[in-house]
Amino acid sequence: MWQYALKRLLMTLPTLFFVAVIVFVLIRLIPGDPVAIMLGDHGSDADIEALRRQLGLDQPVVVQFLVWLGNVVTGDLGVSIMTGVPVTRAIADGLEVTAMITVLSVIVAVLVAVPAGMLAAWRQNTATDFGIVFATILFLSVPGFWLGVMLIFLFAVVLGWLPIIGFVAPSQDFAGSLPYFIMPVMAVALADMAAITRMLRAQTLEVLRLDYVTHARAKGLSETVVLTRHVFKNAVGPGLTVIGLILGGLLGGAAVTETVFTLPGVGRLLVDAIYERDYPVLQGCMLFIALIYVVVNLVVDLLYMVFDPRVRL
Amino acid sequence: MSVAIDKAVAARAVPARRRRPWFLRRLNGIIGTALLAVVFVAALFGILWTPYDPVGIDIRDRLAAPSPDHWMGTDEFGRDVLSRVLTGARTSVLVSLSTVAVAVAFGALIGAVSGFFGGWPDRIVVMLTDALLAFPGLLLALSIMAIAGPSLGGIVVALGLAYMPNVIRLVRGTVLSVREKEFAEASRALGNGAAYTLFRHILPNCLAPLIVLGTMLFGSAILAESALSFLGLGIPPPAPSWGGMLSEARSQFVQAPWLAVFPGVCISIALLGVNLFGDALRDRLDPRMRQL
Repeated sequence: MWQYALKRLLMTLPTLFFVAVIVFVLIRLIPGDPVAIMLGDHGSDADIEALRRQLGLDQPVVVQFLVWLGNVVTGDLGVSIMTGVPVTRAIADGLEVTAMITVLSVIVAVLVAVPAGMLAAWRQNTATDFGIVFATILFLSVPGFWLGVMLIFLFAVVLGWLPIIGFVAPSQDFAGSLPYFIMPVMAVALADMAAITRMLRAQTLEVLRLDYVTHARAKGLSETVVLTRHVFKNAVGPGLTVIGLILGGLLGGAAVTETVFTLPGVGRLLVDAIYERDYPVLQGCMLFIALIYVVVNLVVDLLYMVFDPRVRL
Repeated sequence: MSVAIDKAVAARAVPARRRRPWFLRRLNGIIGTALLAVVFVAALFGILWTPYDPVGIDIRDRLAAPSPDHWMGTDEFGRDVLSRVLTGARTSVLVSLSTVAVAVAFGALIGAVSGFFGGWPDRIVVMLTDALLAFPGLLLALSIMAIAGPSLGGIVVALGLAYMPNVIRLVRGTVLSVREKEFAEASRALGNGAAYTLFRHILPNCLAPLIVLGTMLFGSAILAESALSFLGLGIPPPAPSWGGMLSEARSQFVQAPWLAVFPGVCISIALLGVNLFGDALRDRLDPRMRQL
């Protein structure tokens, strides 16, 4: 078991290395001279040359990459061109917002989806099942950012129940910040809920057909016990893999969600960095999100091992 | 083998009321195809004819509510929303089709060659694919758009590159599993060249899963294009796109809510069509899923 875990852990190292290579290459591909952009219209040729030497941009590309990689590994992502704030700080500030939305969405989605998926499978081919399946297909088809706009219109403009202007950081006042997260989480969680429900329905159907379930029923166990004690664990394990994928979608989609609800998260930071051509920030955000995504998938794989002993062999 | 037969017998033994009636089994496919047809017809109108000029400004008639003259109303510049929605459909469909074409063509070629010949190029392809898959698709597309700048061609390249790793992984996996089968060996034994064996005998086995993946990617591309345009990193204004229209509508919220409704409904219809159609397609092409 530990051997497998270690192997899986080591496998992420080359992935992370290539992630760094891709981010480095992407930023270098951006047209225009970054030094000239940094200095704006005011830089003379001598200034540009001096700054270039100062930033190490006169070195060969491989050397630049190795120096940059060394800084990244030690947690130094550079400084924002626009604000002068260290990129690590900027990301850390935005992280609480993005983490709140992501974690709350996954929790809400799982809490609804697991019972819904199992119920649909248990009542396969009944009106309940069709209703749930139809709802999942519908929810999967509504883009989160449009749903967000509609929610703002309904709850903030028409009903005036939820705030849309202003923001309270969760670290300052956790309870006070929650109203600002209700709409974003609703907008984002719906599609994920649908995805998990479908996965769980399919898994539960597989498991319900197995002999041990028939055996459990033949023993005279109640349906509740069969479902909760015998079916649940084997149906949920594979569902975990979807959660890994969904987190990826949430992190990628954070840019859009945080723009719709004007929340100061990592996604918003990334989009602003693109608008303002703030390359160190863009680079840092990409690296950070990819790192989180890789780590989440690693954790999911390891958890899978806990749920399904067969993988341990 | 006997298990399969048992299952077939068991399936027939299930009481009739437990099985879905045929029209419910086919309903997904029928509705999905119909919705997709609506989107494609709208796109065709967007190419050939729209009631008004989609970028024609008419300040006297700005923010008009839906009426017989303007079925979906007009926006803050007095532009006809219906015309813009139809032109947006054209953009969405063309961008998504091109994206899928790029991702599938290059992805299939790279995946097939890499899986078939193996060796160190294959190992590099696998590592690069893994690394690319470590980025959420939309993030990768966003970053490539930062390089390319907002443009139609930029979106196709960005999304095509973002989706290519999925295709590479699928095709490479299938080629690896089929490469050593008897019919592939037979083709080699007959003296056929490697390329002929690969493209004539091995690659066709990827077709069914590729069609299903392609359909899903088409839906993802529609969603991603509208998200990019919503962020102002996709189709540059004033050219209409569903995401861009939605973004502009946000400032006119209180006076003209219909501006935000129509583009969103269009995206949802397109995605619903793709999802239903894709489900039906998977049921048809992947018999293992049929009973579910």
